[in-house]
Amino acid sequence: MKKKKRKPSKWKLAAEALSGPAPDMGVTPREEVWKKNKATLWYYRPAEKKYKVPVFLVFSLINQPVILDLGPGMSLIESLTNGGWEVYLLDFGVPGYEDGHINVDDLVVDYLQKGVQRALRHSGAKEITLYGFCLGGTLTAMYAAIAEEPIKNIILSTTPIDFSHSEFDQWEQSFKEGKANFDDVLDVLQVLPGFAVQFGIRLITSPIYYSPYLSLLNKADNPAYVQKWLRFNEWVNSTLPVPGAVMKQLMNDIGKENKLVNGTLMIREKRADLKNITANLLGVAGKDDKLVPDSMSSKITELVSSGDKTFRFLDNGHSAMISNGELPDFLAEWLPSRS
Amino acid sequence: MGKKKSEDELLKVLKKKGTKLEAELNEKIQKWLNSRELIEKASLESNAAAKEAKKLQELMEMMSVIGNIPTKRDVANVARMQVQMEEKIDHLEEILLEMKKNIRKKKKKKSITDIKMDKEKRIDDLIKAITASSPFKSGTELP
Repeated sequence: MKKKKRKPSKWKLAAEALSGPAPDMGVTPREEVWKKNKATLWYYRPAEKKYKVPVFLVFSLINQPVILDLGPGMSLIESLTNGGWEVYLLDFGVPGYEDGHINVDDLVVDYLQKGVQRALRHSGAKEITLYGFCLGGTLTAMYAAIAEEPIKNIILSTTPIDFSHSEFDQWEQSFKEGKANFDDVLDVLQVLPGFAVQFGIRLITSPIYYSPYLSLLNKADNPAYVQKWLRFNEWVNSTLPVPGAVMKQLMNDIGKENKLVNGTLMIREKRADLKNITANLLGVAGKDDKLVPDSMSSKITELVSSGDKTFRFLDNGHSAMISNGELPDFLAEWLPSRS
Repeated sequence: MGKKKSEDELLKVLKKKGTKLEAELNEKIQKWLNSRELIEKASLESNAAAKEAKKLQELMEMMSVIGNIPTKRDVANVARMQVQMEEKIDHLEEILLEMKKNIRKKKKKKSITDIKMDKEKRIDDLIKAITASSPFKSGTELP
């Protein structure tokens, strides 16, 4: 009689998964359209072009945009190209010591605005949809407030806009009173290293962090789940350095003085007042998002002049951008009729 | 089978209790972290460390002059010059693209004018041909 093979324990499977090689990510075919310094504008060709208005993705500065293209069947970019949209992705790249002087104005004008101009020229489209994620969404909102380009739609996913309330109210007070200031250390370092950025994010969200490993342990016998978990974990741990000048401007102008909400933010001598935004707007927040709670993101609808504006609360955390192979419902309901 | 089931149950309980404990500990840590004293002390100490680091960097700059060796600042300056060059090429490329667009527009406009002229010419030729073959030449009176 043949002996039945025993299934390996979940402990063993989880240990094997963690010690294995990093999975392949960012596999959707793409072409380089434009490059500047460390930044690249990528173009993803649609399977069959159905919509006139291309989608321009602006990812956060603190993480790799690979979360938008984790792998086949778990890629937002893939679901957009399969849906018939031309997709452009502005990847800011990994800044180094030499980029310490780059500030928010530079990112908005020299990288984002130029990138949009390039994408419009490349596609030949008359209008464009901007889709910003996290801090990339904040930059998108700043740019949209001074843009001369034809922006038809703006989608802001888990985007911090309003810094008037924080879970760390004592820190906020100290910053506002000028008793806490990290400008000098940022000047010396020039660039805030990735590990320091990750440490900061952990402090805000989850200083003790082990529950994702318990989830892996529970589902270690599900290969599809393990593959997705490994990819997500790889992304979570790939935090990027941030140029010191950007960090200073974000802490002082946006965090301390809340200039984006007050309408007093200046970008290269232009007033980036959110009232200037008239494009169709879709805001998205995760109900369990600890990094950017909805109190920081939902105010955008009160600040813009758009006639068509919607805000959706999703049942997930900060990573509302992970796709299960299909266009997320909030996008499938909103984007096609406006493209 | 029984062993597998008991492992699954154990892991489920571990996840439930572990996640709860993680949330409780994080809440306590974050409450403790949310203190003016802490952030102000961190700010003071980081500024003091920055001053020392700056002195050290200046010293290294001085030593690099004597030793004739490049520093990180020198490398950064070269990198910035390269970005400036990239910007100039970018600007030139944009001018070229704009020129190309204008030439294409002009060509298109020209070809529309050509078609118009061609049509007018053909109408003229037709009128001429009709008049030539007509028994009523211009200037002649009708019977």
